[in-house]
Amino acid sequence: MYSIATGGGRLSDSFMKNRELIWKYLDQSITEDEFNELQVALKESQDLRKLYQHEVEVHQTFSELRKSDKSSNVISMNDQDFVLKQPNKLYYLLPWAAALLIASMYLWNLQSSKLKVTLVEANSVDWRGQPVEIGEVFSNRIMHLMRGKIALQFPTKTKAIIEGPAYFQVLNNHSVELSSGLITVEHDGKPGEFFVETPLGKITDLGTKFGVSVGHGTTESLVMTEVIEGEIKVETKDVSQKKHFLEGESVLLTGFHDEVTYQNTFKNEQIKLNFSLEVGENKNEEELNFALGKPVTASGYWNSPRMGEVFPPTAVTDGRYADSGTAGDWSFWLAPQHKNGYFVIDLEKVELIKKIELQNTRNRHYGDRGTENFRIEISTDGENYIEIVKDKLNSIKSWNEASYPFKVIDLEPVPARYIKFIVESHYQSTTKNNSSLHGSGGLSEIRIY
Amino acid sequence: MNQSHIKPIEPEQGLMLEIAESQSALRAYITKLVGYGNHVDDIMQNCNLIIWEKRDDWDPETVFLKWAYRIAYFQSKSWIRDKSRDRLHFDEELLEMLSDDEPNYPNVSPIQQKLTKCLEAIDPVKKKLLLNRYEPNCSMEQLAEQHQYSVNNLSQVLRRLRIKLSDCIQSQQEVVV
Repeated sequence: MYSIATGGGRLSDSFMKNRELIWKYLDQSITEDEFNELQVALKESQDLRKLYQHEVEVHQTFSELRKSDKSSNVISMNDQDFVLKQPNKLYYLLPWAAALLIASMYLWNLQSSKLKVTLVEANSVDWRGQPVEIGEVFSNRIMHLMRGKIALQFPTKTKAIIEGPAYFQVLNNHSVELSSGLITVEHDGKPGEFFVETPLGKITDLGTKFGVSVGHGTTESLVMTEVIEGEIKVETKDVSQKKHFLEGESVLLTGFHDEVTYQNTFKNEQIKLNFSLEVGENKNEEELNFALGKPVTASGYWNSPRMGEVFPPTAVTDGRYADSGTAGDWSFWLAPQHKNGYFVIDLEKVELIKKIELQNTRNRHYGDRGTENFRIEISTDGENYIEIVKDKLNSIKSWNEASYPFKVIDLEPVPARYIKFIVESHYQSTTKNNSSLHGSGGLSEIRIY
Repeated sequence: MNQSHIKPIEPEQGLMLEIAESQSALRAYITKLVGYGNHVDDIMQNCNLIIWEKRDDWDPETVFLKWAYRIAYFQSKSWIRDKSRDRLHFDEELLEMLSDDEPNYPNVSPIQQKLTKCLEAIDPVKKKLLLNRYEPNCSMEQLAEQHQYSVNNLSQVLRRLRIKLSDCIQSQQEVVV
C-alpha cells in the first residue's frame, strides 16, 4: 500500500499535484508537459508508483461497478432517478404511505417552523427599523442594515457575514434573500443545503465559502459572486442557465428578473470582490466624529450609473471604509477621469476641530486612483478659506481592510464649519498599458474631531 | 466424504478458471503500463490469445498471475512500439519499474466492496455524476453540458471525488491490516 501521510503527517503539495496528474493521465486529459513531469515523478518515487497502481485499480473498479449496476435491475441512468425493471411489491400501498408522510411532515413543520437563525456578532452597526441584538433570533421580516457588519449563525452549520448597507431577509433556517449589500457565506454542513436568493437568481453552496454582492445600475440589477473555497451552483429563472463555479472563479449577473446575462469579466477584468471573512471588533466611538453623515459637495465625481460605477463625494462621510460597497453604492469618492478634484464638507454648524483623520482609496482591486499630495482649507462662512494642512497620503497597496490606514493629523483647536479637501496630485495605474489613461484623485473616508 | 465421488478438475478447466479470475488484475496491470482507453481491450485480447496458445508453458505449481503479467508486459510494450505513435506513453525505464511493482492480489472484489461502501458517503448528486462518467461512449463534453459545468470544472470535480474515494478505500485497507 502507498503511504498517504508524507512530509511530517501532511500531504505535500507536490504529492497532491502528482496525484492530480495521475488522474489527468487516466482521464486522457493530460498535456505533454504534464505527462513528462508525471513520468519523472513516477521514476523517482516508489510511493508514487504504488499510489498510481492503487488509483488504476480504483479507476478500473469504477468501470466494473458501472457494468455490474447495469446488469442488475437498472434499466437506464439519466438525470432522473434509476428506473427499475420490476415494480415494487408495495406499489399499491404507496398512496397511503405518501398520505402518512405528508401528515407527519405537516405536524413536524408546525412544531419546527420557528426560525433558529441567530445574530452572533456585530460591529459598528446602524440598523434602520427594528434592530436585532447579539444572541437574538431573527424573524422573517425584511431587515435594513444601514452600516456595519453582522454575523448570522444558521442551524445548517452556516455562518453568514452581511455588510451594510444591506437589505436582507432570513427566509428560513437554510437560506437568506439579499436584495442589496454584501454577504460572505461559510458553510460547514451538507453541500447543497444553504443558498442565497438574489434579484437575479439563486446561489447554492456546494462547498464551503463564497460571497455575493448585490447592487444596481440605472435599470438593471448587478449580482456578483465569487467562490472563495469549494463550489457553488448558480440558477436563474432560465433553468438551462444553471451553472457551477469552483474556487477562485467569479461571475457577474446583470439584467432583470427574467432576462439575465452571465459575464466572466467586468470592464475587461476578472471580477473581484472584497469579502469579509470576519466581523471584526466592535469599536466604541469615544470621540464624536463631526463629519459622519454630513453633506458633501465636490468639484465633480466619477459617474457611470449604468453599471453602478458611481462614486459621489457623500461617500467620504458615510462611516464605511476600505473601498467597500456594492454596485451603485460604493463607499469612496473618485474625481472624474484625470482630475485631481476637491470636496467640501458642511458640518452644519461651527465646531472646534482638533484632529482630522484621512483614509485613502485605491479604487478597489484596480489600484489606479487615489490622492497623493493634498491640502485642507477651512472656513466658518463658506466663502473665506484658510489653509491649515498641506501633506501627502501614501498609496494603498492592496484591497483588504488591513491595508487601509488612517492618517492622523493633529491640529491646534480651530473653529470651522466648512472643510475643503483639495487634491493637488493623484495616483494612477502602474500596471495597465498606457497608465495615463487611468487615474484621478479620490478618498475613502474623512473623520473630523 | 467418499473421494471417489469428487470429480477432479481437468487441467484445462483449471487454466480457464485462472484466466477468468485474473481478468480484472490483468486489465489493471495493462492499464498501469499503457494508460486507460479502448486499446486496453485490444491488448487484453492478445494476452488471452497468447495465454491460451502457450498454456502448456505454464507450470501449475507457480502463481498464474505472475506468469500472465509477463505476457501482458511484453504485449503492452509491443503495442507501445507499434501503435502508440500519437499517444503519450511511458518510456522503457519506467515500464520496467512499473512491471517490477507487480500487484499480488487475486481479484478486485475486495476493492469493489470498499468502493461501494465509500460511495454511500458521497452526496447522491455527485455519485450520479461520477458513475455517469463511466458510461460507455460518454464524453466529458457531453457530461459537462448535461450537468451545466465547463469541461475543466467537471474534470476538477471528478478528480477530487475520485481522490476522496481512493483515500476512503485506502483507509479501510489500512484498518484491515
